[in-house]
Amino acid sequence: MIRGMRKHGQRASFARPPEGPFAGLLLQFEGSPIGPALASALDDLWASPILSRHCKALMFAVIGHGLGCHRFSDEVARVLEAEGQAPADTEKILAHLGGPGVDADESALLAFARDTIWYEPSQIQRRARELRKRLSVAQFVEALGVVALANSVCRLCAALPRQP
Amino acid sequence: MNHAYSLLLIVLAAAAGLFFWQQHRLRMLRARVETSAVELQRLQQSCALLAPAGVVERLFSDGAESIAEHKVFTAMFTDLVGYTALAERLDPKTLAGVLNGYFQLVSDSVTEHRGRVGTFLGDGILIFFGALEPNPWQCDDAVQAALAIRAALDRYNAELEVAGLPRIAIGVGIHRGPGLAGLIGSRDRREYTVVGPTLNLAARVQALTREHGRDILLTESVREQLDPRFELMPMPAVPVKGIGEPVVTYAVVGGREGRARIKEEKAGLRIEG
Repeated sequence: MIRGMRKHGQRASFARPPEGPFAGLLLQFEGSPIGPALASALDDLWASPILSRHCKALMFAVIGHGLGCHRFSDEVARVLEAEGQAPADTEKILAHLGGPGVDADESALLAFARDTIWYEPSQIQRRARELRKRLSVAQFVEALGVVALANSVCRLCAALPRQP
Repeated sequence: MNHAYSLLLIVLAAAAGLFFWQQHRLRMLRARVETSAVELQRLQQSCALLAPAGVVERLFSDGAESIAEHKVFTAMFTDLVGYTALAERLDPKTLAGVLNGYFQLVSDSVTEHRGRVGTFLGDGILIFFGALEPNPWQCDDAVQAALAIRAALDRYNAELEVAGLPRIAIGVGIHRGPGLAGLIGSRDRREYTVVGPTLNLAARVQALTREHGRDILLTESVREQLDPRFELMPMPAVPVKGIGEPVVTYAVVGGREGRARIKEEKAGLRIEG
């Protein structure tokens, strides 16, 4: 029975339609068990005050830009604009992982986000250790969560059917 | 009754035997899978010495023919200045040691900044950024790598001096443009590389380092994509063999941190200890 359930999957709907950031993206996972799980994880991440929303959204944007996923990048651009980030400034920041309104710690977080795109364990570990020196434990753990979630959401977007 | 009891014992013994036999087979199978996994890993590690790890993975999964893509990438060409004279001065064993140290420092600096060493060509090294996987930051990475090579070379020269050996100098040329990345070669022997005019111009720009007396030069197509915080100095346009128009290059003076430091000092924000 379990094998059957695994094989055919279970339709799962959102308990309530997603409203927060990335709602447009999450709605495309309607019917999949991934949708509610992602919505919950993204809502929790967004609600956490440890790293600023601006910084978290920029980390998402770096991963979208590095992977060349337009659907994900467009959604993140909307989130950043809602956070008061001018699109021209976003472009400058993404071009060189630093720029207007980005301090040294944020710049290091963006560089770390970039390093997680192409999975090279030894390099990620070394850079994670460097990053750890400049962040608190809570900030560091949240940063790991942000990059893990951003990479998985962005890669899941590639599995979505093409938009007309 | 005794007969039924004996039969039950035989069935139980047979079931136990079957169970232990299956367990034994499972253990044997696991051991074989583990041995195969170790052998596969060893094979991949050996292949990774000949081509980038990502290429090796794709070679295993998709085959050699699949690895050929048109890409915009950044090519870096490094070369030893005065190699011929150096080769005449040193005995082959010492020369090989000096060369290996130079190859290692370039390779380490390039890997640190997400580049890939493509080929060793005598004393020259061909390096790619953004040839294997998409890299929107390839120009920044290439220049950071070149600066890391410059710093590592200073340290290496200090070691050579201590050992009573001559100092070495290098020229680095960087150019960005299109090319075909893939496994190129004969049916029997191929190597992962990129072909196209971008490489030729990178090599020509490297040769211009002698003419301009600068160690790192880059082209306009790199400068356009480069973080403006890098310190560059424009060089006069010079004609280059095989290129119609004279080529404009820029010498790399300093990194992003240098510009930021100068800015902070000017603003009176930095206090030197």
